[in-house]
Amino acid sequence: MELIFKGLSRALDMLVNADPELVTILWLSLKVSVGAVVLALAIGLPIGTWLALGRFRGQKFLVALANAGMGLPPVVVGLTVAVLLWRSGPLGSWGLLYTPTAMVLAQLVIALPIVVALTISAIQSLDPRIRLEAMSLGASTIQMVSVLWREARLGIMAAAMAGFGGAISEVGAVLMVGGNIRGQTRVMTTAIVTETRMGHFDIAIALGILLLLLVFLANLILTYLQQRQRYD
Amino acid sequence: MIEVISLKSIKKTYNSAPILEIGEMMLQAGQVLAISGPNGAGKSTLLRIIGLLEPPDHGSDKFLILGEQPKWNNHTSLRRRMSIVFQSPYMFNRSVYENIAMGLRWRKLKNFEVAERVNEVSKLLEIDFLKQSARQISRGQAQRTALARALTLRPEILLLDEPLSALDAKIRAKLLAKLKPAITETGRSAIYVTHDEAEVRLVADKKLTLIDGKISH
Repeated sequence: MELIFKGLSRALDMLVNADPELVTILWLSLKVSVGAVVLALAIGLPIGTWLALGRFRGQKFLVALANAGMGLPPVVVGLTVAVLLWRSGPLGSWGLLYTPTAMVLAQLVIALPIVVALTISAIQSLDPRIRLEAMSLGASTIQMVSVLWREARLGIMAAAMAGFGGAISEVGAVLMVGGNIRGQTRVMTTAIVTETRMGHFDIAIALGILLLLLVFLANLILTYLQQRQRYD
Repeated sequence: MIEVISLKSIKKTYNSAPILEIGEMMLQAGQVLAISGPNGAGKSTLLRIIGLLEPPDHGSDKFLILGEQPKWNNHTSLRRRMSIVFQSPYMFNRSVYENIAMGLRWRKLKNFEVAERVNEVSKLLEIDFLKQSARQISRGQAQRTALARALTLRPEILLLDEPLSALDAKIRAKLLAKLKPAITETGRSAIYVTHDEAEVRLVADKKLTLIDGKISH
């Protein structure tokens, strides 16, 4: 119990004093995970929409793949991205291993199936009359997609939130491709692992509380945006 | 007279059962054709095929809309010359005004032109709930909104699938009296699907009855 109180007061102390190391870690966590989710949305929304509307051979298989991808183990993602970016690996010449960019890539792989799968379900649960109505009003393909996204915006925002949650909370992949280098690639989750290993439970608890707070704040903003756009 | 719709040997099947078999059907510019028939006779399917929302299984090569043979993979420009009003129209999650304006915005009309057209049609159809959310209006109001949404586009062919079925008889008669001249005075044509014989008499220049997917003479 004492440990938890110590952690709480430490968290408060670090926040009030704007601990410079904490600010660096927080900022990098946010940059990496927001970057990964933005990329996941840019790639995942069109793919999810195509898979939701498409009628072609293998469509069901690809949807199942996206659904399965939501449970992708971060450690396996980390291993795969690390092997790809390894100095002698296929993308080794890019020199990205142990950089924030590598961490964004790893989290993108984690967030992408989540965004794709939830976009598919958001688009498929729309009223089928929307497409007919939009077509009869003369929508072009791009106009059709934009109206579908607009009508499915609650589900798409949920996809963004779930993608962000998956990205910021994982530790295995960023640890493997980022290396947890202090001041360079250390993020909230890897910092918690390090501090726990060193027996600094108060700092680890403080970081844990701050990470929860960060996730909550990010979701609060997204939820606010999501609910504000509800018309009915 | 110019033929705006000309179909020959159109067939549509669902699960290998024929649901529509039209030997020949024509509509001339400026005419209003009423289609009646029992539920499940294929009226809505015929309207969706003519509106280029779904292709027929046979006969697409003898299918002329506004003098053009539709290309089923890309027909936005031809579709934009027509407009369909469904019996249970979908109301998009925005205001009634924006619902009516949607097709105009997709055609990249300027804001003042959009406002002009929306107001003109709203006045005709007595829509005084433009600022309301389209999700909060009654079925009858939704039908009027859908009709306005189609009319603002000034289509050459208007396809109407029981567009006023949710309105009471008095308002329906009043709107029908306005609708007929709104269609024909501008040389436009329409297909009007209805169960109601009184409606047929009020709007139609000619009529046909559809039974079990076939035209019954």
